[in-house]
Amino acid sequence: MTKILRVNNVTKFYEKRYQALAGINFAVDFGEFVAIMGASGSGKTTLLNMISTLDTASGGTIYVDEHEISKLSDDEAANFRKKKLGFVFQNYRLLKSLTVRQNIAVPMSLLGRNDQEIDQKIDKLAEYFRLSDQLDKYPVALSGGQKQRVAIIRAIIKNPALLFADEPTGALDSQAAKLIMEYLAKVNQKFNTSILMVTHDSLAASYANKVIFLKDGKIVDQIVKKDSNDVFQQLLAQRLAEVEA
Amino acid sequence: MNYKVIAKNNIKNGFGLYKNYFISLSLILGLFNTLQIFAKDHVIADSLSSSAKVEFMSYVTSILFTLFTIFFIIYFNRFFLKQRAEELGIYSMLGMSKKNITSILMIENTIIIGMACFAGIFLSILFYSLIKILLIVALKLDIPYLTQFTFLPFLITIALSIFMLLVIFFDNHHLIKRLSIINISNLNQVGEKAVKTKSWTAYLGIISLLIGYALVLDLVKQQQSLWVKIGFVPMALITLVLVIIGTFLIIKSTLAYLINRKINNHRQLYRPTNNIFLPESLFKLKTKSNLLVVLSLVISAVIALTATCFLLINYQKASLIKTVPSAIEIDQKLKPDQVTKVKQITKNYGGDFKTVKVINATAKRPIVLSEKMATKKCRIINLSTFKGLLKQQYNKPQHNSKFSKKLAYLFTPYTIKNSRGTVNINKQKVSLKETNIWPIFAKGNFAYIAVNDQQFKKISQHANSKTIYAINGANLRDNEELYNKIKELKIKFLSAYKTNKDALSYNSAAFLMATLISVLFFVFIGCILYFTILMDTLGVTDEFKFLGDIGYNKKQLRKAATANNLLIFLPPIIMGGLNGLMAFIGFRFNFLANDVIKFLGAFQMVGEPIIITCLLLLIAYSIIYVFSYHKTKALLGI
Repeated sequence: MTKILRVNNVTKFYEKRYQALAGINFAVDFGEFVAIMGASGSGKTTLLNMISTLDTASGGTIYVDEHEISKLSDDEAANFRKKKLGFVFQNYRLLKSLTVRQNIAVPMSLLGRNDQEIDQKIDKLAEYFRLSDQLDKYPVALSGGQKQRVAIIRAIIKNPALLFADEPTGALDSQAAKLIMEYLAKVNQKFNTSILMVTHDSLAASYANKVIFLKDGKIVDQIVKKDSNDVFQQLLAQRLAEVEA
Repeated sequence: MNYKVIAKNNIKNGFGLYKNYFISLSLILGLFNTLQIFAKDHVIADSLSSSAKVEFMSYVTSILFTLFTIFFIIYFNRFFLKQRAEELGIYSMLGMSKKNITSILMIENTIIIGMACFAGIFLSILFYSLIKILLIVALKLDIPYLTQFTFLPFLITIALSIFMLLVIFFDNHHLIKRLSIINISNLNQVGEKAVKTKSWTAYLGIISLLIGYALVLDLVKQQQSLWVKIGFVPMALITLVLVIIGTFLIIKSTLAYLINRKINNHRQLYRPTNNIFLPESLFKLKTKSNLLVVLSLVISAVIALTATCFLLINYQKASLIKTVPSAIEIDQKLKPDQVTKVKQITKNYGGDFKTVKVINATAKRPIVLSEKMATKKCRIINLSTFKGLLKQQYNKPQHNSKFSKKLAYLFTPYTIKNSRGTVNINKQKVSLKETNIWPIFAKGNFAYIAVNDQQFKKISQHANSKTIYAINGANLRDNEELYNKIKELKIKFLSAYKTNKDALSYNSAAFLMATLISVLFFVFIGCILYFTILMDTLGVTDEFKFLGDIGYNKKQLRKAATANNLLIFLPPIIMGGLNGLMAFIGFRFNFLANDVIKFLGAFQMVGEPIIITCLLLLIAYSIIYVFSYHKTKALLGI
């Protein structure tokens, strides 16, 4: 199977003395859903920022969709993110002055697609995510779960090579969190979108195919899902408690 | 709980946010105090002109300034509250009552406005000292550099500062009192609702403004205009109301309508910059339109005032050159020894002395001098004297080449007919042609004519004459020493230096006040614009970071930021500029007759003031824009 992501011996130092990441090595297969778990300060978000070109590694190489991204300039990185990557954040990061439709359209406008193609895709995805009635509303009128669904549509509308989700359920109640994870799982299965998710929530992580555990900037474990979500969730919660101890 | 400590720490920690506010307030209060010191300094005001005039202008400006200050203080206060909504929410959740929160905010504002007041007063002392030294040196005023100190201006500025605090107190009290605890922390979420635009108000704005401008331009008809038929005051009120309504609706409604149309056209909307800028700008217009309208109107007034000041300065300069062409003109018969003395003085100053014989004659038919004046009474000089004097005054040989010996030249303030045909003057037939330049003081209702030497000799045979003496030379028009030397001879004479000095003295205080007021409001507006852009940018840093994260490159982000900034900058400057220029044109046509403008030079009277004012506006606001743009780039990391 083709690797959508290869991380080879990646390190990150801050101010030349504090090591946030120490020799990270792992890979994500095409169409795989991988979660990264760890305690606060373990380096999860740092690793995500490296891979998503929002930050640069101090050492090592990173390949996304066979492109070496470790040494891209700012403009090259922006161009790469524009074409290949999608993002879902904990705090949704919807533009409050834009309607739901306008928010979703942003990545496609950036790619220069024509208005008809954009509107057709928006309508189709909104129907799938049951947001057709919300397209002309502003984010302030939506619930947390609805906002996150809008964020997901915005992230996948351009068919990214890799979708990054940074604590996507962090600001949601358990019911909304479950719904969001079901949608993410469907996105992975139906659209074959590769997903790399950072989370400390074992419920969220239980939807992934594989979970990587980080501690003090190093990978300490990798668990592949073999059981149902509930069993896997319990296993992950137990392992996380061990890692954090 | 020690609120003073909390307030001080808040200011210390949030100094980056408050710094620009503090600087703007200090500058504005500084300029305001400078104006007050000038108005209350009777020594300098009396030496320039009537101090009552100066005091009155300062009084009117202070009232207008105070009104604008209320508006802006409330606006900025609301911004700071929204910026700190989360923090205020935490205070209330920790158990602080609304009264406690208001107390903390009041202490913070007292510290900032108090410091700005003292900084402003200190600045004003510096500004005023510099202006005073400049005036004393430039106008050679005979007053001491240091005069008795008065506290009244400072008390007025302190009173204004206290008034600002009171306004903030009541605004905070009103705003926080009516909010529930949960809503205090959600202050910054107000306003994200759909913006509705109406086409009829959009079109009404344009129509209203155009009618207002048409009414201003009707003044061109002068005596035939509606302003004369209906009356100046009612027409002025109608025009003012139409222009204000037009400005208000164009900014609030027309712009929003046009932007909304673009948004509804998805082919326009779905472009990288448009997708962000257009919806954002709709909200910006909703929340900032009142501010932009007020700024437009203030800029209009400042532009009109500045252009009018330049017009009046040029009017003074141009009329002086036309009415007092020579540096010194002696209008009495001198005794031989007096002539010798005058010649010697002229020689000492490197000037040229000329004796001019002026004949009184009568034409057979009336000669038209202007639209309303015609006369048979003539005053004649000979052409060689005419050309010689012009050469001395303008030092331009081409003036001589224009004049033919076959023609006689009739002085008219402006061209009426150019060629006047033949006129019989004291039994001599002269072919008259118009000229707009004349080398001696042309007073009274006489036709001033220059004829060739031969005809002059014949006309003078049976006519009365008088002698005028003219002194000209390089830099003699402004020469005080020459003036004093001639004055010592106790003879009747006209001096360009004295006439200019008197005119300057009479008007300088008013011009200075007008300049100070223009500068005050220019700085005021500049601070408001800069601060508004700063506030706006702080509100979108997170959004721009997000856009960078999803793939907008720096060029695209700079484009979006520029569009955002221009939305704040351009409407008030364009509307204010247009309104101000129309007001100036209205002033020109209403208060200066067309023939006066033609006489003094249309470009100098109208064109030059407009160009200089527009240039000043362009330079001033370009500087502010550049500062704002660099600050925006720094804050957004682009």
